[in-house]
Amino acid sequence: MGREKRAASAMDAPDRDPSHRQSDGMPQKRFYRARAHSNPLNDCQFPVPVSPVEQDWAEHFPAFFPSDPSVAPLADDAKVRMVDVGCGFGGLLMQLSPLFPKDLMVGMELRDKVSEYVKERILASRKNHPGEFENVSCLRTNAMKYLPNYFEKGQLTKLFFLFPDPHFKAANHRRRIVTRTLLAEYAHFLQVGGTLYTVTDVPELGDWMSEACDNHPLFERLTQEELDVDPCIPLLTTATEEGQKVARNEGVRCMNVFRRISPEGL
Amino acid sequence: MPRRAKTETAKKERNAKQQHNPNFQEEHFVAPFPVLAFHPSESLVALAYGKSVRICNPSTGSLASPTADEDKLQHSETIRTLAFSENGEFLVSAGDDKLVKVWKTADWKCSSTWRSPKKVSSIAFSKDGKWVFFSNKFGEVHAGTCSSAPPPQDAEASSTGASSEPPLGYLLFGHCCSIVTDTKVTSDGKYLISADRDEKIRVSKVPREPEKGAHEIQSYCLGHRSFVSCLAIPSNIGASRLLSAGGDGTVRLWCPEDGTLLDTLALTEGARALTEGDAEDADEDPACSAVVAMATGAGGVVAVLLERSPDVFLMQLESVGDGHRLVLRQRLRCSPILAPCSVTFDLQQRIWVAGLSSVKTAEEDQDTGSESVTLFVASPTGNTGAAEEPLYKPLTTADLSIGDKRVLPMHQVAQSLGACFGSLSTTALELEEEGMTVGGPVPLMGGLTKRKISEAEREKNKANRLDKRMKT
Ligand SMILES: C[S@@+](CC[C@H](N)C(=O)[O-])C[C@H]1O[C@@H](n2cnc3c(N)ncnc32)[C@H](O)[C@@H]1O
Repeated sequence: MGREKRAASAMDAPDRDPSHRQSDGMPQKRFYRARAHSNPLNDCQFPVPVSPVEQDWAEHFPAFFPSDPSVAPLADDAKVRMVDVGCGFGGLLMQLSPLFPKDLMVGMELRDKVSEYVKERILASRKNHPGEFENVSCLRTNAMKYLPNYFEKGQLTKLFFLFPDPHFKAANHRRRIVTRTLLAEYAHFLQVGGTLYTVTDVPELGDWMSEACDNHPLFERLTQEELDVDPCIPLLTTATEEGQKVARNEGVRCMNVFRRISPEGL
Repeated sequence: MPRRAKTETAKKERNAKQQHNPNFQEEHFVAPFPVLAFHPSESLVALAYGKSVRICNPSTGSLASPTADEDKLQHSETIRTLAFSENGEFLVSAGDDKLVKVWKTADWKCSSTWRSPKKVSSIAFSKDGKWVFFSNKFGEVHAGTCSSAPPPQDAEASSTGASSEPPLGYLLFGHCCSIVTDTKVTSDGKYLISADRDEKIRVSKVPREPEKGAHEIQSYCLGHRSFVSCLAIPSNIGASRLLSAGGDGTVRLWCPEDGTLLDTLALTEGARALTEGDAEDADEDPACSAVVAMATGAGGVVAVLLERSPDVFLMQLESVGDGHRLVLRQRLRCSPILAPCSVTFDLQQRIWVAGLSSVKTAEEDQDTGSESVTLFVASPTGNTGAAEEPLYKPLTTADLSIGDKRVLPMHQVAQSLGACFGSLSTTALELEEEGMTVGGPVPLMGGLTKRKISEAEREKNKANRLDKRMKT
């Protein structure tokens, strides 16, 4: 109900006030503070595309979908391959971008202020470093609810869940973002062989996510040898704002990484 | 106490409860409405209204009164959904009391009872008739066996000291933070389809072992622009297909295998075309009504009921090339029903509609009688080809023999069935006194429409947000 046909422009930042920027054009985080939590179970009040074909990625990745036909795109048939779920202030995206320059990646963030910050951050970085950060963007959306509206079956290669909200109370466990029922969706959008990364500083949540994935027939834990050669692993604990905070406080880090598999006879 | 005052108190209490419990809103109140189901191979119609189910043989008018105590076909709260298994062995009923009861059609004895953590919104049988799948208002879909349930969960019962409760179903999957509105199994038995309040239709693979969950999603069918209210499986059109309808007033044809949208019929536009020149009807045309019920019959016929319309809309799946498209064929007034609620086809391809026959308007101060459950039946005209000819005509006393069989006058069947529900009309009134909405337009869809927040309201909310206020 009440949804617009077109998803809002990625770069529609309503209050793009120049005073919110530093001298290098980078947005200042303190102007984008939002309340600590948004309830993911509430009805959304933001536009969502009816289906993936209605999502306009050109607005998010103009260098990959140039409107001028004489300009060559950075890559052909580019698709979003990686998603940082609950990306917060976007630290992971910024470090992931140069590692996979031909893959498109988006952060999904529920809080509008925070997603606005990430969009501004990406725009400023593109300006300051021409040709870079063209493959990252951010969507203000509820990832627990709207993945099917943005992505097709088997489209993704990597899904990141870094320091998700713990929702300690048993009554609120339904709000957790890695659950048995949601894993079926993540498995649907991850291609076979794709990777699901989770990290948290809350041991209880670490156990919860670990158990949910271990018990899911479509996921299999990565071995230590596999983790050792994965270039994303170091970023899990160092790239994001939350990760850095935990590191400063010398908190524990529970990391659990899984591969999408396709067993016979389910 | 005068009725008004009583209603006021009830409202106040409800508001207090609402404030106390933030989840209260999810438990929206909907008045009872009749639900119909037809046995797949015998002349038996099941009708549920309120807390009870009645089964009638329309050829004889006799009520299949369970020889055992009739109270057993009872729920403690309103029944919302009713279905026969494909082999006719079982009837399942479920609804607001969160219980799923599977009845053996041979003797109408209860063969298993399952519990749902939330009110049950829809049910479907597996193709082999061994499992029943049931959805709830938390967006979850559970499974239970038909023949017998595991023993009551004693651990839980003893810890709460209560008498043992029926077991909870096995969790198959969930629609995150939505309400599942309908579930169906495709004709090949491979997929379990579930529709939700958020415009989404999910196609899940029916697992080999439902007790371990349904983890594999086959596809999503996305295209509805409002909630999806009902699903139907067209029979005998070759490939496995799916029909859906909802709050956007459209009926859509899908390929569930890959989620492709094959055709869309905007009912409200089509309905207008059918009444062209009929100024009287054009007036009360459902401008953009939600579809409340849908059923499929032989020959690709699809019957649809719209909210706020006293008519049944008939369309047909017409083959074009190697596919099909939906064509609106006819609009039939279901008089004397004013608010049709449920529709189904019987063995002779007759269309049965159950609804409420006297609908009270909100302005009416006095009790102008309660509404009663009424049936409307239409039979095929035998015309299948010519687009201009009607497909169906209302069944009247003149049409009462089919072959050499004596068929009971429909009003007699309706009376037989309806008489059982005489006392239930009072229940509806009582509910209203408790502050719930009863009467037309039937608030079937009440809980599915989302609260619209205006731009101004949103700005105000934004401005008053805690984090903003702290800054200034
Ligand atoms: C604790 S923060 C972690 C942020 C970031 N990953 C990091 O490591 O710094 C969790 C974030 O997830 C977001 N979030 C929670 N539920 C969400 C949902 N359903 N969809 C999208 N984002 C969500 C929250 O708004 C919050 O910004």
